[in-house]
Amino acid sequence: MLGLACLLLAACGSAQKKQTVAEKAKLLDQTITEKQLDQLSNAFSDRYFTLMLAASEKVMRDNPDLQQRRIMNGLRVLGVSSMYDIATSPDTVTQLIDQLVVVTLQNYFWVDSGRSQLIWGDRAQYLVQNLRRAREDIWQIGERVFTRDQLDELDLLISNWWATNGGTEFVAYVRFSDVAAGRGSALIEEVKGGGGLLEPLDRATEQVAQANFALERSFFWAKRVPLFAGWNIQAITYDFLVLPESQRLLKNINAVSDTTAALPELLASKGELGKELLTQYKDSILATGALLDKVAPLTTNTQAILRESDTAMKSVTEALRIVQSMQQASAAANAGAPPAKPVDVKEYEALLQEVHRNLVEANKLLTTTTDLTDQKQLAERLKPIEALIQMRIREVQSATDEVTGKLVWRIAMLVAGVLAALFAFHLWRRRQAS
Amino acid sequence: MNPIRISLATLALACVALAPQASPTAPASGTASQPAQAPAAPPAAITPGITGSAALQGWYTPEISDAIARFPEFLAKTPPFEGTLRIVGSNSMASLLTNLGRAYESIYPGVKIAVKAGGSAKGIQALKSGECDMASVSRALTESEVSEIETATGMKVFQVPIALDATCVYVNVDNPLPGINREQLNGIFSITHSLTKDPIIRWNDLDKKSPLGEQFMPIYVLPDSHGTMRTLFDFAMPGEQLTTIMRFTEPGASSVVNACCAYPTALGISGYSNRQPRARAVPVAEGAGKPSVAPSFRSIRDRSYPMWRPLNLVVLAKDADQVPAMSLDFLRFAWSEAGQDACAILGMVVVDIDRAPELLKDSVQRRFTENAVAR
Repeated sequence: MLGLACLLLAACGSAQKKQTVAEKAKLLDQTITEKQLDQLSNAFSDRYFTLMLAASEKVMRDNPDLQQRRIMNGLRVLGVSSMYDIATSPDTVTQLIDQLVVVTLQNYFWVDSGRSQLIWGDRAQYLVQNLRRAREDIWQIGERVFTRDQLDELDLLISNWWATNGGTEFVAYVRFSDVAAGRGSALIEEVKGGGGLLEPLDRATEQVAQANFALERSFFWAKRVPLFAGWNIQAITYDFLVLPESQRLLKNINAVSDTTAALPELLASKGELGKELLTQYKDSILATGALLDKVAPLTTNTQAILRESDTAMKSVTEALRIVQSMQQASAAANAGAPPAKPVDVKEYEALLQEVHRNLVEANKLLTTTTDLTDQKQLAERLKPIEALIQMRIREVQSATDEVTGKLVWRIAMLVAGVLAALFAFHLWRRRQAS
Repeated sequence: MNPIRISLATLALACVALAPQASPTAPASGTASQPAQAPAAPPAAITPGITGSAALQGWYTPEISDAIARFPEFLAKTPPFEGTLRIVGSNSMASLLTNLGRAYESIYPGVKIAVKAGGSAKGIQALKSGECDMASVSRALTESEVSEIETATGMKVFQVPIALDATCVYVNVDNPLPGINREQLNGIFSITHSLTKDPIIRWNDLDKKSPLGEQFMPIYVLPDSHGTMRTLFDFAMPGEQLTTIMRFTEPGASSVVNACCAYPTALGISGYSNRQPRARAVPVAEGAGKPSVAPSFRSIRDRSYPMWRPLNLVVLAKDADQVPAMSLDFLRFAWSEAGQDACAILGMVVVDIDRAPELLKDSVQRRFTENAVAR
């Protein structure tokens, strides 16, 4: 009897030894499920978006410096897109760890180094404090999944990577696999196996769970795609505006506007003056051509981006089909089981199609701009130019100031000037013919 | 899926143009207030063996390069070692040892250095129970700890510092706080503040002239068990508990410094190797009226900065000549030019060649001779 009791005690002792950190945490109700972690990761992406939006609005609003606005816009586009890119990647633990890496590295780059103050001066405080808040938030989520020692190790891995790669600008695209090499996968497997506070994953049902997560991530991302299309166009606008050629052209536009103001008088006198006028109009047409030459490469870039988005949309749709067929197969296998609430795939398909349509429309618009070198139909050409310019101006206007105001005025004058010139040219030719 | 990279290629150029030229991080080294020369590019990895590659590439300040250059070149044993060397202990030393281990493994392809973090206390426990070959301990063992281990194992304890670090008091770079002393640290961090009448919770409690005036002083610390905190406790508040007023316990040493970079009113405790341009490590004095010493490569190395600490590897053996061959060779590697380079590149302070521990004194001297012959 005593021997049996000893045996039982020993068995209990050995069972105790084998208990994982996650099992111990479960007893204290501290564990977190993969589903909860996935939701936390998505929620953090949205929170990060809010923090970046708030900081960037404060830095950019009423800021007369085009470069400062441009860098801020680029930073938020890179940061937020990276965060959603991570949130929609396949593995939940890797997602969290990658978010941790990116936010921590962004803090090294923009907060600790003093770069923000160097670029934005006093306005930098908004960005600095919001990036710090993002760091606090993501590490708090980290505390729900990793043990203290694991967090300490993560912190050291990241800081040591930074110590030897400190000049990297695109920190938003560094991932844990870059930072930790072999130790990275070992740590992730350790956590998944119960070595952290995450409930150990059930390998048998993991595939099904991952398929469901993939579906949800697709929707999560698809809903946010239009936002990035808008931000990206804004980024392109800034890229365009800071080109030295654009700056020169804007100065030329003033000259065209002056000519336009003097147009009625010039038209009143004919003969040689008429010819001179014609030369001036030709100059303005050439100036417009130069503008278009600069726009073309930018639109090509945008088209490539849109094509990429288009491909992504198709792959999301394909994923939907796969999930749908999986559901049908599952339904067939469980014919006798009570019906579960199905995922309404059609609803999401409709959403994706709408996004897709918008992208196609944007693509068409940009395609039109690449055909603008045709000299025969100038009036027709001006319409899409105006539409494109107005679209860009609207984007800039929403975030900027009097500089943009001047730009609007100048471009509007250019368009008006060229249209008036066309009209005058037409009139002059008619009179010549008669 | 990354639709943004293409259109923002020029952003990178703008960032480069506007970014500070000096590296913002640890390899800049030197003192917190003394920016290092901007290196052309960081070394991709530590070149195995013989000499320190980072030192050769001008990655450090001349002071650090000179200190590293005084170490002997490492001569690998033939036939080469094979097997696994297990090191358990300090979290602060885990990456340092991984870096050092990688360099060592590249010299002996048949060797694996298995590093496991978990805290200095766990390392000591693992060493006692024979679960590891070496313990990494981010402080000097107390006499009672040494005698306890020796009694329990019947073997002698050999402590070898492989690098130095220091516990620093960080504030925002715009905070003009001139210095801080032991009593003030006690008033800020101790719940019982035995050395001050009142607790120090506002900036003008600490410095009457502080432009932060009556603003509260949030303090950012690491968990109590961290070696960095233990050094603070030993220095300013032995036997006392950490305050709970306005205290934020951070998940990592770099996070403490980051808080000081981001928040103008923050005050934090972290390691010297975690210094950053937007945070300033303030000078520390042994007591009121005594001179303050700023943490720097020199003041930590000559031990004049009060809160310095050794990063030790601890090994057990019946006697000095019975230390396992591979463990001894690894320690020799740590005390070579390449080994110290692997430490310095992570922002640690290199040890002083003139203070070689008894266990390595002969070999360090012998290596100098061997190298001279080899040349």
